[in-house]
Amino acid sequence: MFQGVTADIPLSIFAAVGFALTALYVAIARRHKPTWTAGAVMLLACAELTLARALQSINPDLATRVFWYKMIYAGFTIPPTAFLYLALRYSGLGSVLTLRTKLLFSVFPVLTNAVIFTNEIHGWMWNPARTAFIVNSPDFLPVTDAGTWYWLFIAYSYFVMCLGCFFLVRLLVRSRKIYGWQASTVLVAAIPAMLGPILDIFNVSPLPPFVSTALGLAIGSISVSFLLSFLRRRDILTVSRDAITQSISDGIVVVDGDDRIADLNPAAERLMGMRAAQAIGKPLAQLSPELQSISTHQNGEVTLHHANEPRTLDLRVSAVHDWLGHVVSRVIVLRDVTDWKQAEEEIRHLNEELEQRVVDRTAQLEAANKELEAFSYSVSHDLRAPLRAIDGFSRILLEDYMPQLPPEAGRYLRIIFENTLQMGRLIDGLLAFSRLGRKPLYKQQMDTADLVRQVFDSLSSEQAGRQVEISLGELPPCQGDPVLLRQVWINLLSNALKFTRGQETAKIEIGCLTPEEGPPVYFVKDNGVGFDMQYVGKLFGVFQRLHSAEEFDGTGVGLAIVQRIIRRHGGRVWAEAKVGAGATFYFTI
Amino acid sequence: MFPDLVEILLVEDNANDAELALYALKKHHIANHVEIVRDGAEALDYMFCTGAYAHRRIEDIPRVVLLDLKLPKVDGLEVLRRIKSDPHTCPIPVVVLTSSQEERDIVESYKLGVNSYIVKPVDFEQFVEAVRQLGLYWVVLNQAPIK
Repeated sequence: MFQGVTADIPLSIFAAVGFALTALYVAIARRHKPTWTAGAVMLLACAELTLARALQSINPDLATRVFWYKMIYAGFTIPPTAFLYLALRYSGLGSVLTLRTKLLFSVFPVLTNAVIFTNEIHGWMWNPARTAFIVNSPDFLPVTDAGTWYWLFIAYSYFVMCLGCFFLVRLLVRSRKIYGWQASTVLVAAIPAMLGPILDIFNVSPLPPFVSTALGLAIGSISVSFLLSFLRRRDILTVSRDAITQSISDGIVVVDGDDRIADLNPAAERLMGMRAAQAIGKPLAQLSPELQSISTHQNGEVTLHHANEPRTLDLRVSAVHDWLGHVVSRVIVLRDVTDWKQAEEEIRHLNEELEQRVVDRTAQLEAANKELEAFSYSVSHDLRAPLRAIDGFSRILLEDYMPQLPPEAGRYLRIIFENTLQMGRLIDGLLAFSRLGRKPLYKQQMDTADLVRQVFDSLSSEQAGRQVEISLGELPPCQGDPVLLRQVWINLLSNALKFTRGQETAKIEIGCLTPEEGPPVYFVKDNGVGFDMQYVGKLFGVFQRLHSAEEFDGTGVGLAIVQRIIRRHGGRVWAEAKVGAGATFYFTI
Repeated sequence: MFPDLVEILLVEDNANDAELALYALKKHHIANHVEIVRDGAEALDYMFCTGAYAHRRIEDIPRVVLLDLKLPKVDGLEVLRRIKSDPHTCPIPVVVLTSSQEERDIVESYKLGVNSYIVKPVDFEQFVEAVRQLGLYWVVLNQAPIK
């Protein structure tokens, strides 16, 4: 008899210590959770009952054995109620646990304890005649020896645990739909707590008696409590997604495989002008044919007219496939792009206006250009005619009537036609200058050195009978309009030749500076009369001359033309000089 | 030569230019009979024997037409276009004699079929020389298509 019960002593002690440590852990690690007291108490009760079981087994004295045996049952009275407390607290019903309800819940356990410790008097727990047999047997209380209160106690315990489970499941089902499957997980986790005692009660446990009850209660309550907190954490994601769906301004419509509306978020309700309660379950085609026609194909745009003003919606359709690849559902995301469209339209309108303004300005500029053209046309035509008449008739006078004229008259006539010629040249210069502004640029790669040699050859008449020393430096090729750049070189070189006329030997140097940064700088340097740098600002102006007509002929257009050509090429031209010490003209292209 | 056969039709609105041209032609004994008209409309009347020239025989065609471009009423380019687009008048040589050096005038004139384009030099000597040469060429040297 005695030996029979010793086998599970180490296991019972081990379990008791384990329960106590877990209770300690729960009390420390989960002290900020509202459920910790209930959890810890439950574990302590388990520790107590397994310890009592061990003490009952090792004590040879019958009276002591009976006492510890009763202590086991005293331990059993606590976990079910603790589990109920835990469930209530966990599901946020902690407020139910007032002093009164706590007293109410403790009535039955207290009564049970009273019944246990007074069993010898009434035998409600077990047959008192069989007490010696029962406490000496390693088995659980035989069913045949159990008293009425014992069954009442078991029924009450299961009722209380089921009540706890009910609260937990209700919590999960109520909070969110998606918790539905988790409720079943929790129920599965609660199975050990339910099953363990049953095994013991009917003596079919593979474990030593009492241990499966204690283990079942402990494992069940611990796993339920951990599972709940773990699932809650994990479901923050799902729940937050749910929150996004609810709060996002894009409408989301879910249709099933038969194109019936399965879900509708508040934004979609607003955009489609219908309530989810009315829409869900109805065919999309019936509620919104426009949406249906587009959503079956692909993404697109649709205009809905349900409200006072039409709204343009941008549709994104994602198909949901089952594992066979069949479309089981489609998620339609609706974005209200009405405002965006309006803004786009506004931008388009502004652009059009801008374009119109450009067209208008261009027309104005073209008109101004036409006016300029008309001006230069009439200059070339109308100003020449009187000049020709002045020149012509004074010439006729000179040729045909010279004998009849006094000699002074002949001189005056000559002055008249010399000035006429000069005016003709001025008009030609002005026209050439104005034409430059209108002529389009035809840029190409040019051999500058070759061009300069050609220009010099063409100016041979200027060099006839003179000592001219020309030094030609390295001239890199450049990009430019050949006709216009030839004019630049003609003007600069003929100037150099003209203003060195007074020198015994004219020295003209042509070269190119290549600075570290920026384009190459071409230059033409002469040893001519130079000019006063004070007047350098006037140098490139039209009809500006720094020398008198008696000294040097010219119209004052040449350098203006040079500057205009260089500027049209995007380059720069400047000059350095000293009176009597020559001038240097620089330009970049 | 027939004394009243017009050898040159000078279309010129500027009286001075007309006189100078006439002077140059006479001086070099190139043309005896030069008809001067003062605007484009008159020139067309002359060419097509209408208006004031209705009595003129259309067969009597000038050996050359000297045409200014800037003319009152109908401008020179229009006159040129009408002359060159009519089968009766298109063989008549037309020389544009103008102050305009504008490229578009030159290009347009040649497109319309002008036989020569001369810019009047401002310098009188050059002007006389130009008139002399063109008179000599078109009236004396050039073989006209129709006698």
